[in-house]
Amino acid sequence: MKQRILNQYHVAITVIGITALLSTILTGMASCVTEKAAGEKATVLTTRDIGHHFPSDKVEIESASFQPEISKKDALSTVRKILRQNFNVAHPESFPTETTVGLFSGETHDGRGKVSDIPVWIVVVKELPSSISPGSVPQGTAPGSHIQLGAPKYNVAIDAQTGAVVHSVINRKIIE
Amino acid sequence: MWRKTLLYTVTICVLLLVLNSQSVFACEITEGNDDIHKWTGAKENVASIQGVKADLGTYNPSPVFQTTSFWVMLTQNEQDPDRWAQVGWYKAEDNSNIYVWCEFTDDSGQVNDYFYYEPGDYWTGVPSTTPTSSETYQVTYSADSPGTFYMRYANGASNSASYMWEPSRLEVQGETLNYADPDKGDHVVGDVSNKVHASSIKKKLNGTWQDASPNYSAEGHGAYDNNTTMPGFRIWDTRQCEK
Repeated sequence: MKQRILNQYHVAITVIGITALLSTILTGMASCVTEKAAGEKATVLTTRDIGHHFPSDKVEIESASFQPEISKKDALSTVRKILRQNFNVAHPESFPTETTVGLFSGETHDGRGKVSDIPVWIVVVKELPSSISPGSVPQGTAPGSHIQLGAPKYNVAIDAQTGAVVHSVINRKIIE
Repeated sequence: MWRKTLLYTVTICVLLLVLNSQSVFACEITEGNDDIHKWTGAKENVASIQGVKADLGTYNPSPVFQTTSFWVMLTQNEQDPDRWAQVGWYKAEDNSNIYVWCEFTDDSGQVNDYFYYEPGDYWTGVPSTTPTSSETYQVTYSADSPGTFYMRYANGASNSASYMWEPSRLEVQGETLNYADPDKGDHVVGDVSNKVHASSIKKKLNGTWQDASPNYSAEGHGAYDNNTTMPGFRIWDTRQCEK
């Protein structure tokens, strides 16, 4: 009888132990998942140089660290849609593209006039086809003389909270 | 009998093929190997110039290679000037639309392009407004430190840019950008049936608009004349062939 009670006691202890162990493992896993999800949501991005260029008297980009409401995927989607629909670029995703964030101050293209310190996504699509820009240069004073221009680059600032295009410009580097 | 019929049929087919291929070849422009840019139009060196404007006609067949544009510009009186501010229309080979655009260099040596958006009357980085058949395009300059350039289409809003260079020359040009690698195309703006017209070419000096006195030139297969019925000039490609 005493042995039977002892056996039942051991079984009970073992069940409790296994339950506790499983509980600990599951709780730990849940905790990890929660922390990871929270970490993804709380990702704070910091400005880096991606070779973007906005005319200096129209736009100023300041370095900053913040968490954008709009995803990088949505920002890229907006820019590629413009390139497809308005510039006839068939596969905009095939061109070198970089993204970063920053604080935008200057002229807007969405009817807001001039603004200060708006958190934006900055998207730069490089080495685009020459035909998206007139690539115009002065004639020069000697027949046939001219300067050369580099490949066009499309620079876009997108409101990181609303997804609206705040400012965009095509530019090309003068190659002397 | 059937042999003769067959022979006639084959002969007619061969003749049709030859005639058809000749007509195709007749409309091809030989690939060029000149500079990738081709200009035809007017320019004038003017010290302390404060503006240029002209009424530019629109021309809208498919350009042969890359881009076709027609514009007014303030730039520098020197060999291969690397600063300019301009406004005009342009069309790309792979886009059926034609757009009003402006372009300027900044102090870092970058060339910046914006497009006119008519419903909201502002300039944006997205192509929008199609020009009417003839309209006034204007660039003015306000001297200061830095000076400010104002690029304007019709009676719309100006796009301004302030930089540290001063203009000393006006240009009103039709320009094509052809392929450079490999060299391909030497088309200039317009053709015999569709000459492109610029009229009322003015320069601004000492705060007053006056008639410009430009020199004219045509490159490659380009040609120009000074139209007597409408003051100004017309330009075209002498070959009358489109792609």
